[in-house]
Amino acid sequence: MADAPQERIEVSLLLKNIALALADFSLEVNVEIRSPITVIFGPSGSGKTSLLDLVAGLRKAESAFIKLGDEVLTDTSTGVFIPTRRRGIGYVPQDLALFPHLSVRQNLLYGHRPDADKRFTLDHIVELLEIQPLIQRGVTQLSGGERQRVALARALLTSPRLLLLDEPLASLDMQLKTKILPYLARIRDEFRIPMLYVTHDRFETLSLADEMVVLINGKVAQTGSVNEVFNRPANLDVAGIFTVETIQPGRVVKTADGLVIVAVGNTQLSAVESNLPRGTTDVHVCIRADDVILFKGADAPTSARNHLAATVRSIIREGALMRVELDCGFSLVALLTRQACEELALKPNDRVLTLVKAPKVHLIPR
Amino acid sequence: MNAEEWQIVWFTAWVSALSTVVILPFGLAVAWLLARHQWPGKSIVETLISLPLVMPPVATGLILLKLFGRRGAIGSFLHDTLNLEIVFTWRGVLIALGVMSFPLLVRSARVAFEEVNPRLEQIARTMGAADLRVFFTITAPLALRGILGGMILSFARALGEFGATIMVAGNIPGQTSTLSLSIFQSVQLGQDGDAFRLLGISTVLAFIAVWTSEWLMRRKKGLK
Repeated sequence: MADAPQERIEVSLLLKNIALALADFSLEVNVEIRSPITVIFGPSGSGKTSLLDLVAGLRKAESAFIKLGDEVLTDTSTGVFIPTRRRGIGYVPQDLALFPHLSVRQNLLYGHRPDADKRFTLDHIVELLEIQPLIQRGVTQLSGGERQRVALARALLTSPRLLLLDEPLASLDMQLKTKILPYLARIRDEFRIPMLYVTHDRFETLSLADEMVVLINGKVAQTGSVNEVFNRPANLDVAGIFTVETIQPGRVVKTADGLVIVAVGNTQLSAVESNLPRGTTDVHVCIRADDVILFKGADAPTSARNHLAATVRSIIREGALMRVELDCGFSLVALLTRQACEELALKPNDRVLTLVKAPKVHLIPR
Repeated sequence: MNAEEWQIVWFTAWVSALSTVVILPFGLAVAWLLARHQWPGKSIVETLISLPLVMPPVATGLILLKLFGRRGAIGSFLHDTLNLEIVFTWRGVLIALGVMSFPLLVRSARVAFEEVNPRLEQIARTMGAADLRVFFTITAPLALRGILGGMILSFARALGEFGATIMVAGNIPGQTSTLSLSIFQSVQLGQDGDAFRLLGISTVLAFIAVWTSEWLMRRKKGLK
C-alpha cells in the first residue's frame, strides 16, 4: 500500500464556535481536524453523538461554523446550512440503521452514485469488506460483525468526503472487534477520507487513530496525538476517564514459549499476547496501575515474570488510593491503597522493586 | 337477492372503497405531519380530526349538510364554479363516509409512522435522499402494515356509516341508499326478511374486513 496511514489528508474539517444546549450541559467545541482518523473520545453522554449529528446536518446548533475542505456546511452567523443530503458525509450511527425491509444489496445501493468517485464501486467495496456472500440476504439475517461491515460498505458507497462513525464496534465483543478493526484500517489506508470516530474504548483508539479529541460534558478537555493524550492527560477529568495509566511504545524483541519479550525504554518486559498478529514489532505496552505491585527489600523469586528495579518519582493522593509514579527504565504508574503506602513508608526517590505479571502486560499493535 | 339489493351492496362497497382511496393521501400527509413534526396549532388539528369519532354522527352530518348545501360555504362554491351538487347525491355519501372514517386512517397511520425509527430516515438523507424519496422508500414501506390496517378500518367504518350519510345524502333508492340505510328502512317498513338478508351481507363484509386487518397485524408481529 503506497499511502502510509500517517500521511496527512487533503481535506480538513473545521468545527468552530459550536454551541448546542443539551439536557444537562451545553456542547461547546472549537477544533480543527486534519488527521485521517480522529477519535472523539469521552464517556457516554458527553455529547459525542450530538456533535456528529451537527456535522451531518441532522441537528441545528444555536451557533456553529462547520467547514469541510473549502466548503462551508453550516454557518449560523450568515445563515448557511447545506442540507444533509447534499453534504456528502457518510454516517454509520451506533445502531447502524440498516434498512430492515431491504436486502443487503438494496441497502448498499441506496445511496450509491456510480459516477461520483471511481474508487467507490460496488464490486471493489464488497471485495474490500468481504461481504460478497451476504449480498443477496436480508439484513435481519446478518450477524453482528456482518451488519457492521454492511453498514460501513453502505456509507462508503455514497462516495463520502468525510466518514462519521459512532461507536461502530461498541456492540461487539473483543474477539469480533479485533476482526473488524483491520477493515477500518484498510478503509483508512486506501481511501484516506477523513474519519471522525466516536468511541470510549482505548483499544479501538490506539489501534486506529492518530489524533484524538477528548470530550467531557460537552467541552473539549484535550486534543492531541493519541499517545500524548493517553500518556499525559491534561487534567484529572481526562485522566479519570482512562482506566489504563501506563502506555508506552515498545518493540517486540522475541517470542518464545508463549511469552513475548518487549523492549520498553531501557528495559524489557515479558507479556502474554496470543492475539498479537504475526510479525508485529511495534506495539503499545499497556499496564493498568492497579496491576502493579510494589515491594521493598531484596529481590526474591516470585511467580510474576516482570521484576523491575524502580525509583519513586512522585506520590499523589487520589481519593482512597495513592498514585505512585515510578521510573523503572520507562515511566510506570502504580495505584496503591494508602495503608500499603504507609506500611512501605514510600517517599519520593525511594528504591523499590515493581512486580507485574506477564498476562497483565497488554500489547497493542502500533 | 334481487337486483335492487345487489345494487345496494355494490354501491356501498364501491363508495366505501372510493372514500378510503380519496382520503388516503390527505390522511397520510396529516399522519406524517403529526408523527414527525412539531408545529403551532398541532393539538387543535389533532382534536378536530378526532371529533367525528366522538361526536354524534348525525351532528357531523348536520355540519356537512350546512357546509355542502347549496347555500353552504363549500357547497355554493362547488355549485357556482363546477356546477357540482353534493347534498342528496352519491358525492354526499362519499364525503360523509370520508369524513367519518378519516380519524381512523390518521390514527393508524400516525402510530405506524411513529414506530419507524427516525434514525433510518436521517441516515437515508445522509445518503443523498430527498424528503419524498425518504418517505416513499423508507417511511411508507416500514409503516405499510399499519397504513393498510388503517385503510381497512376506514373501509369497514364507511361500510357501516349511517348517521352522517342520512343527513347529507338522504336515502334515495338507486342513488344514495347504502346497506345501513336500507336495513333501517326495511325494518321501518316491516320487511324483516329483506333486513335480515342485508344484515347477513353486512356481517360478512365486516367479518372479512376485520379478519384481514387482524391478519395483517399478526404478520406484522411475526416480522419483528
